[in-house]
Amino acid sequence: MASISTQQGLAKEIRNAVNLPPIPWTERYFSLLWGVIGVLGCLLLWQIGAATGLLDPLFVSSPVEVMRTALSLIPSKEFGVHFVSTVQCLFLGLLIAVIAGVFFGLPLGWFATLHATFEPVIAAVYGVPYIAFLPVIIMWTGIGVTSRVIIVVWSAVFPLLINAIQGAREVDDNYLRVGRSFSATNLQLFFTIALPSSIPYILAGLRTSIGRAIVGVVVAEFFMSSKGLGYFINLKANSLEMAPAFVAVVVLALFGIALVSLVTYIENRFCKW
Amino acid sequence: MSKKIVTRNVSVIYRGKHDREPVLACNGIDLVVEEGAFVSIVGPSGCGKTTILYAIDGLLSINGGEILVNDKRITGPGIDRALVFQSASLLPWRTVWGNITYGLKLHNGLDQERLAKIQSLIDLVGLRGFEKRYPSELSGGMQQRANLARALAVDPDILLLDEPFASVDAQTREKLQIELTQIWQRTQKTMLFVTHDIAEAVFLSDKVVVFSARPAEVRETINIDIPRPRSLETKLSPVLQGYVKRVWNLIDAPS
Repeated sequence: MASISTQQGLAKEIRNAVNLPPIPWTERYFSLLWGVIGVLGCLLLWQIGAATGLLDPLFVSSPVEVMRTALSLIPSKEFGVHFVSTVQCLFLGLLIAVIAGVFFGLPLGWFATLHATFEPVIAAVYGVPYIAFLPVIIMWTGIGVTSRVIIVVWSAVFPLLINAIQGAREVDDNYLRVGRSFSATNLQLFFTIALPSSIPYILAGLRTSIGRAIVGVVVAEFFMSSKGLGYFINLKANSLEMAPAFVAVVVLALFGIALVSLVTYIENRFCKW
Repeated sequence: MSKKIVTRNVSVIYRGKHDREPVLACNGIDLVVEEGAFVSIVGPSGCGKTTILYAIDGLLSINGGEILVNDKRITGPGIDRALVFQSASLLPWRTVWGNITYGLKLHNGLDQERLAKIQSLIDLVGLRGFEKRYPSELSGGMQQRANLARALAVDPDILLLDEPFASVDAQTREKLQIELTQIWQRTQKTMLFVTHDIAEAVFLSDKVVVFSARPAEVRETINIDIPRPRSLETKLSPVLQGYVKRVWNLIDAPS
């Protein structure tokens, strides 16, 4: 069996033999190239707008101004405190959401009775925007870390729960038959077949959850915190300091992209089947 | 020779998922497989060959008659029997090694002695060097070798094979057939092999059981009197071709 590396080697050899031109870099990095052009183009329009006075710099700042602010703001201790506070809340919430989503989701998908019983409840709760529960949560737990983490969990748990349920429900019959043929017990079928075959579903859910968790943490910090990037954005925007507010927004966006990339990496590395 | 598998007047009603109409898949099947024998079941596709095989494995419950394995009535799957599935049955998240040892792990049977046997089993099926690969990294033929090794790993008395070579290419199939007869002779297992490939059935077997179209009934049982070991030449011999023709006529004949 030829391995992939030798297949690539072979392709190269063939190309050399028939003297094909190499693939130009504009073609190889096609989507990356145009993606960068798109982002830079938007920033350029923004800068031009602000410089010509078409957009009011008081409200929209400008890319150059945001960049300059970022260089001094991001290393500062004040910003660090906000960032760490947000990240702690985010990670704690996501961790609880993953554990809860998998712990409840897999059995809910595996046992038909549990699924039939709780499906309507989950659908109903999922349908209500969690923001609607904000005052209720504040009543329950006050304004503090607990209430913020609850919001993050609430916002992040559903994609995980629903995907774990889906994963446990759609286990391939062929695989279950293998387990049964080796006279596996129901518990063994669950742990050796349903659980591993659900992992791709759970990771896909986690990727959706990350984005929702970031929304959750920012919303929570708007309303019930004196720390965190959400609080910081609110504070700065209210005092018309747009540049620092935009810096925080960009940091949040980049952090989200990094987290999602990490999950994708884990997926490719450990679920290569 | 003692009788390893006996089915008496076995009927299976197959119920598809949800509310599909139940179908009579097998109707009064009488089969006898002697210890150490290689027996094949052939029949038109969709006739219920796989159904009777699953029933003997204990995966399906029967609706009439009885199935005896080692003179005992079966009530469900057991590790005295192991099934080699058609295809796409290797667990994709386990490596070749993980798949082959799967049955043993379920029964806490991974002691030193068994582990050593697994290694020689991997050599026997020609998978040395592929232990750490995932099924998706293997060719169809390699996958079926792993599938075969997984069934052999629990050291069953009986191997039930469900068209194991149906989805591999013709050349690999010929090779695997010859290797399977060698493995059979070396391990002395009782083999019950289901296929729709008549030449394959005749080539491999001591006895070929011909099934009718659904609902499956036994049309005839033909003893294959061709000396062993059989080779590729055997496959082209007029004697074998004669048997193939006979089976073909039986399947083709109106019921």
